[in-house]
Amino acid sequence: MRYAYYPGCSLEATGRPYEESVAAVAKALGIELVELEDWNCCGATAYMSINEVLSFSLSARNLCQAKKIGDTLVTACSACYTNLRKTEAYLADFPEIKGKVDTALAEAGLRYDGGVTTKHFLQTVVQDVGLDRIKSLVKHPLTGLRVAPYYGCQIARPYGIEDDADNPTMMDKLLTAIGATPTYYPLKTMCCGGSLMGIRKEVALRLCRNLLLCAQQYDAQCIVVTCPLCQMNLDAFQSSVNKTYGTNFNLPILYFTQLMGVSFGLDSKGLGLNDCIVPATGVTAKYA
Amino acid sequence: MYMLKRMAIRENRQRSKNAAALSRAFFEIVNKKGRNHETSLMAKVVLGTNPLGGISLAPVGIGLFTHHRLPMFGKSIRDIKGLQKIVAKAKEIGGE
Repeated sequence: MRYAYYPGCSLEATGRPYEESVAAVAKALGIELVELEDWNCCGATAYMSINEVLSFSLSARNLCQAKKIGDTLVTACSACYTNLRKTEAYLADFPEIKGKVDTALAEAGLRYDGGVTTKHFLQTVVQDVGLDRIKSLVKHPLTGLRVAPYYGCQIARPYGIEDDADNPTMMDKLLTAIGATPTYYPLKTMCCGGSLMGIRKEVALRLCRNLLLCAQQYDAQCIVVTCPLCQMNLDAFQSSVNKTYGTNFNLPILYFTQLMGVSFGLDSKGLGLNDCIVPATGVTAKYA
Repeated sequence: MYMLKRMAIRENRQRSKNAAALSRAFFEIVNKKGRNHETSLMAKVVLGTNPLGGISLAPVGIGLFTHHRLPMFGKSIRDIKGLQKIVAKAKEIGGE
């Protein structure tokens, strides 16, 4: 399997453990991820706040680069996934917007005429590789590990992965396939606060508190995520939540790829497990 | 929702100055380098909105830095001039 791959900016910084574990798991699964040449930022939500056509033009430039490699573009970042999917949809459905984006792209000698479908890496793993193949690679089943599956907002809706928007189960099935026990987690698609952590911290901390509390109430030993921003908010700001609310959370926040890697018996250093702020080794060491 | 936000930023009528500061800082970084550099973004937003309040964020920043998750320098794309031309034209013709 060969795909065009868009890392996104966060995976070069706060989400670096995600990048490492995606690469390790892809290699184990026989997936070739071909990084887009000279890719640019997807614009996140900031560009959409300034100018819609500008935001679509940024993602369209990346879709042009993807087209050179193939017809499927894979990304592991939920925010990048949403922007790329939204751009695909708008360019297909709104000729006026496409015309403006074409005009902007032409300034750099580019043109995008469709033909690329964006997938989240979770979809690639579950839908393209398949759960049977994943089960066959498990060397250390995560038996007894209770995991809260947290999907966040952006891969659930409005341009979500092919799953239930309110109660997705794709990651639950994946966790079961590697031997873990997904807990009941009714807040699985609620927001972590996203970039509000930088501008309205009190709001984001409350949202993170709710997510951590819910996981704890259902006896989860860790929370598993699909998004670098969700991971950073819940991991790096967990001590801020404790300080603000007088709680004592100590829940590791792991990427689904990190848990997959542990179950496959991959080296923990190559999965970025040592770079979680809330130490993850307490829940993963017994399976290594 | 985004249209209201864009209008508020354009007319400087946003209720939260911090939100507009974040969008503007993000825009500046990406337009200069082609990619976001999270370390610069955090520094710009904190210094531009609440420098003293930023002290409370120091432990988080140090934690990320010591875990190699806040690189000192960002990467720039090769064809930044091409991207800047796209950005300039999109802004010119974009409307809302």
